[in-house]
Amino acid sequence: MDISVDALNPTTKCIRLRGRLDLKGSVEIDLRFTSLVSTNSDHVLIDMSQVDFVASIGMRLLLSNAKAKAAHRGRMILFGLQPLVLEALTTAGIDSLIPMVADEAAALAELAA
Amino acid sequence: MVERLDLTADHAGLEVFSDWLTDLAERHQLTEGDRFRLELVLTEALTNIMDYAGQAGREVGITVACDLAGDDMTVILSDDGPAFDPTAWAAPVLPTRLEDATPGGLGIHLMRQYSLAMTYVRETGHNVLRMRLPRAGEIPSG
Repeated sequence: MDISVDALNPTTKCIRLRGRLDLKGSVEIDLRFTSLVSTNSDHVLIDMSQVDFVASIGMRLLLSNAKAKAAHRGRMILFGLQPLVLEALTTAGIDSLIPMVADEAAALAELAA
Repeated sequence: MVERLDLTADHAGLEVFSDWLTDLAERHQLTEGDRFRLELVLTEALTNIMDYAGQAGREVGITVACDLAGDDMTVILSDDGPAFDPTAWAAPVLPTRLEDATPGGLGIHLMRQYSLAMTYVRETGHNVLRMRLPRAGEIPSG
């Protein structure tokens, strides 16, 4: 599982994930992802377009970090989800807890709304 | 034809399982959706068994059997670990607000939601979990 980060503006960064958010992938990125998301008040957009599988442990990682982000008064938004990954997150009810939008532009628009 | 895989109840087995499923999906020409849903449901079920196997204090074996010949996909997981009935777990009340969410407990919920039927029996010292998944199309939602 690969993870990279871009600063989009002074208060917003985009974390790009690539690979499978299964047990192995989630363990691989856990520390860095949590460090990037949860330790400040920046807003974070998560580019999910290169994530082709997600298991409940990956959902837990997203959810716990979204909660931590909210506690820091920042926002976390997912974008670009592949249809089957979106289906799994929706089935788990996560779509009602973390905003999910089509692409980076829509995520930035959601932040500005 | 029923496809079988034997694993020891160790998390490293999840990678062995994933590779096996990739091969199986190619040979049976599963759609991307069927493969994804089968992998998700079985990954959650296997992870539960592996988590509970630690209580056994000995090596626990798991057999995964997939019957892909019918209109639906039938999977049976059998293990000789401690008794664990996922069908007995109450359906979680899904939170509607992030601050109310408690990360965790999603695995069995996903297994239920993606399955047409999920049954469990404990027989001759084994947990036997059977799940039936539909091919392609909308998920049954539990």
